[in-house]
Amino acid sequence: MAKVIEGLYYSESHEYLRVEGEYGYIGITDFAQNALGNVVYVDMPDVDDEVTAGEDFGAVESVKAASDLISPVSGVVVEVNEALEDAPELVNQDAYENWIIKVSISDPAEIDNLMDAEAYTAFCEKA
Amino acid sequence: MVYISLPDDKTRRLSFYLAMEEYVARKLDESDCFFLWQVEPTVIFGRNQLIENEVNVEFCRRRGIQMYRRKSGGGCVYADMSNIMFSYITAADNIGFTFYKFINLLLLVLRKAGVEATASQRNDVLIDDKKVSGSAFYHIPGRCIVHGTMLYDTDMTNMVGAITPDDAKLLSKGVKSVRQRIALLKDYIDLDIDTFKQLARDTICRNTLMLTADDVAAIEELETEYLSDSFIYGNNPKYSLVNKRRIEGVGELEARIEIKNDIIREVNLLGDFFLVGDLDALLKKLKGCRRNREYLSAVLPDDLSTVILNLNKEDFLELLLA
Repeated sequence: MAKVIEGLYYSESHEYLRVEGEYGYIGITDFAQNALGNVVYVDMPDVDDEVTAGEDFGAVESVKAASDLISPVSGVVVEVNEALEDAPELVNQDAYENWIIKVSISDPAEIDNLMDAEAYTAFCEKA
Repeated sequence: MVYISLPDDKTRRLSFYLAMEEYVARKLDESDCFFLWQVEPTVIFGRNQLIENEVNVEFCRRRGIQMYRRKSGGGCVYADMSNIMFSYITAADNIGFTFYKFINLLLLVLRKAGVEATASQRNDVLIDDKKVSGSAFYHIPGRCIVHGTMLYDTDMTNMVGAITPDDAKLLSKGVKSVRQRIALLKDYIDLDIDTFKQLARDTICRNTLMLTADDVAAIEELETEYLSDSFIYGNNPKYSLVNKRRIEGVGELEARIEIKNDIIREVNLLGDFFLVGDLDALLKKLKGCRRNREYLSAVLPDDLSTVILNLNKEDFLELLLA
């Protein structure tokens, strides 16, 4: 059973968003890392790049597949998790600790389109 | 399963077929699509591979081998007209299951052609324990794209030369060792390549969807991304090069080069050379340059011995480009 954490927001493409003030930390869920298998590379945008809700901002490559990363919200990248450059497997170890990008959220209303922990758990069970 | 066919039968460059897969995945409603294609000699490297680690660019340019990056993961592949590419696009998110289905389709086709093949743990297809097909996977929300090679025959010299260092001795050795590890379908079946393709298509697909000229135009629009320098070279991860070299009359030099997207970010020079000028100013000139001979030669002054005693430009370029 994949781990789901209370208080985060989730997308149907299995990214999570952790909101802290005007910033959001975006990563892939435990369900996603489990489906992908051993992650060997995380293709991240650069700081100052813009991301758009519903559009891809990078990709996670595992031993099985390259899978697009879809941003749950729009905003500007203020930080990327550089630890993943040398140790992409951190995503497998703890997907929620090891966020991929930090963005300054440009439209907080977009958060309403995401699922909460309960809805996401139900969504995963259907999948 | 629907076979996706093009309105004409001309051979296009590889980037077109990658864009076609993406177009089928993003725009068509069909849930299970399949098509076959072939290309003129081409090297295809994985989404996150460093081109200079995988491809002998010089060799490819010399022999007219095209080079493209794909969006799926995995390693570097050489393909030509005697290799058949299988593309499978399905409305699914389950990577493991989709891979399983795809590999089983390949095994089924081979069985119909009279060959018993097996799947390796890495999703290669083997005949007599030799690789005849390798696959790669690209997932977008709601759709999976899997594509695989099927080696009917190949130009072994091109295959080995395109993806290994440029050294004649290594090349002949490489050809021999690769020959032992790969299986060519023509050695196992009596069918010619076109008959085999028809068999594959008939085995996998019941009906056909013919794309229109408008579809082709839309695919060509998508293709522009695959043709851009920033896509082909740009996904190179940031990395550091450390090049060491003993230069006669100058000393032991070590260049540490920070590169991202094929662009030099930073160069540090260590060693026991004798400094006579402003080294920082010299190294600064290299920032933002592409690491190739033309660019570097253009930004560097012709006389470097005013900075480092006895250093000539050619040796310095060799150090940076090694």
